[in-house]
Amino acid sequence: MSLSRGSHTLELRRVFGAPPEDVFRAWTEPAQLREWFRPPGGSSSAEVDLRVDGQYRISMRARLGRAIRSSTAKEVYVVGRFLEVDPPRRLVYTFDWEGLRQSLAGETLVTVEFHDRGGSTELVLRHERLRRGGHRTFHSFGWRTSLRSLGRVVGRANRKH
Amino acid sequence: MVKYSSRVLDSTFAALSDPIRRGILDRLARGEATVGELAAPFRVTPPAISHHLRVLEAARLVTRRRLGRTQVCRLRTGGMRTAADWIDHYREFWTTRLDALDEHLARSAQVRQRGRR
Repeated sequence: MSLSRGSHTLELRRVFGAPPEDVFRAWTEPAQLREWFRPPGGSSSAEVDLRVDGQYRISMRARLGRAIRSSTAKEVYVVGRFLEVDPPRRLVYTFDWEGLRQSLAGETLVTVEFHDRGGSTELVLRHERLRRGGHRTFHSFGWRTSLRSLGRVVGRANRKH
Repeated sequence: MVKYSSRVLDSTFAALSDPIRRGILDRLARGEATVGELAAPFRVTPPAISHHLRVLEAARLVTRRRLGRTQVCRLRTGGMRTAADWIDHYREFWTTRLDALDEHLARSAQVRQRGRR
């Protein structure tokens, strides 16, 4: 595993109606990760060794449609190790892929902060060392989400007619 | 808000409504493929695959070109998704999961509420 030479950072913020302890647990407990980390319509399982230098591994299995034999369902893994573990406030870990046919350019870095907003949590996610430029392999996850989004748009538009 | 003509909507919706066509689009998202390569994962006849490809072409999602005795298919870049940037892909990846985390936390809270009654 080697660090990506990318230099771009993605930052997302989201407020959840739950205290930081709950959100931190949902982010790190395998039984909970399974519920929300899976691809739309697919399944997921997780192993997490929550300590500095501990490793995690999350599998994601995506179904391409009812007509396809299960042997062609696509399974990929997100893997990495923890650099900082500060419950329930902060996590820093590496993020890499296994199981995608084309190389994805090395480990990237994720920082998650769970800010207490009095019963709610403001989550700040920073994903660093991303590279610019296209890569068709990753389309499969973005694509599926786009199809869902388009389905919603089409559904809304159809209801108006 | 973009306005769609109902004819465009109908053909796009028809294209997406079938799991085999969604599977074809998924495969083409990873790169070009011949008609044979697209048909391989599905237990359907070649004419059936041709039918699916015609629907996708009519929806302007896929285009074909002849290569010797076969045809090579690819996604049309004028179609729904054109961004190829890593950052866009990761944004979508995380946004989907944060949405799901939100729903998961809400469901967990509901379960706890019911337990307390």
